[in-house]
Amino acid sequence: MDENSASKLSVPRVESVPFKRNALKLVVCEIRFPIVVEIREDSIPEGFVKALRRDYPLHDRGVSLGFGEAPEHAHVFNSMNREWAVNIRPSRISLETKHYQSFEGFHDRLQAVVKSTLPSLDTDFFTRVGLRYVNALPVPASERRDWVRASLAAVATERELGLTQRVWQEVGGNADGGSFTLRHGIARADKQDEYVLDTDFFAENVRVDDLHTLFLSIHEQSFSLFHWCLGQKALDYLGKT
Amino acid sequence: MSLREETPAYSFYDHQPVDQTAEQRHVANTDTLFLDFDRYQKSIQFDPGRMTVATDDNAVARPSKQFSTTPQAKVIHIVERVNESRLALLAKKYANEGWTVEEEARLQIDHAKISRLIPVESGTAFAKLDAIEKQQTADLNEMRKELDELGL
Repeated sequence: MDENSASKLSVPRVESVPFKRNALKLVVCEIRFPIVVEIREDSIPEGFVKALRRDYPLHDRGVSLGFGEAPEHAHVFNSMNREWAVNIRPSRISLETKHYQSFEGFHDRLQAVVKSTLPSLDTDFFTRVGLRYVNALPVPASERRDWVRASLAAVATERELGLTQRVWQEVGGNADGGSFTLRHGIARADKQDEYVLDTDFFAENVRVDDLHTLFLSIHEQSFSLFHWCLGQKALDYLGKT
Repeated sequence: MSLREETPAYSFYDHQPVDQTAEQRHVANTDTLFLDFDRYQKSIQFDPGRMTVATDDNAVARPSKQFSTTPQAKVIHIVERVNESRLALLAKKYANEGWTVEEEARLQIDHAKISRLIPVESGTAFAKLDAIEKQQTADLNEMRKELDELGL
């Protein structure tokens, strides 16, 4: 392994295949672009509305929250069944869903959103493109071992600490064509512990014409990292198709 | 699969905002002063001490627009819109209200658009244009005269 590859994420590449069970809680692709000052808290250029009206007819205003960021007002365009949402802020647009079914479906929607809003975004490049997958595995309190790679789950499984109620760690580094962040740990949800695996791959200064290639690459790396994190119990729980 | 309707005619250089000006030119090029002006410049080939009109005489066919000094309403609208964005960004930048990469990128794009839409021309450049126009008019008159003499 040369020095260059050793400094980057080098988990074994795994072909993305759907599992029988879906542990995804949230999938978000966020694209940042040179700011459009006409996007304001109380108004948004007509071009965005026209571009999104067909597939995301429910327009609302909301507040977006990000890690370590101040709350920011956003224009939210929801699909009719509210399973998909496009959030628009002055320098960001994101597509998100809590009902992810396949990468192809997500990819197609993203392509359509970018293509239809590109004239209004008025840019040839994006300052940052990120793809985030938040998976949550239902980990029984009685047996936390073997759900997640031992090195990641080490703190959560230390007997001396008792049954920890909250464990949260963040790892970041370089990846192919960009960077990655892995946030993971135990979280409590609906009276059951979950082990959350939150992967975020991103690249900066991306040409519009390179978005497709980048997106495929970071999706592949995301899945490989997720797969690398899984323990045998998680693999059994998710089930291979 | 491309996200664009068609491949742009310009190339991308390290996301420098000059590309945005090319995009803008595409938007603003319908019968606008500036594109006519550009095309006119390209249609002239200079020999030492003399110029000749190249085969692309599309611009020559519309002399009234080539030297118009009044930008059309469409260009004015674009300039106003870009300037509004630029001023808002400049105000924020100098108010030190937290400056982001995305704001800097847009500011550079706006600067480049304005430079393209309202180029700052020197007096020398206008004098050269004036000379070119006079020479062109003289050549056209001479050509007409010769055609008249030939009965064409």
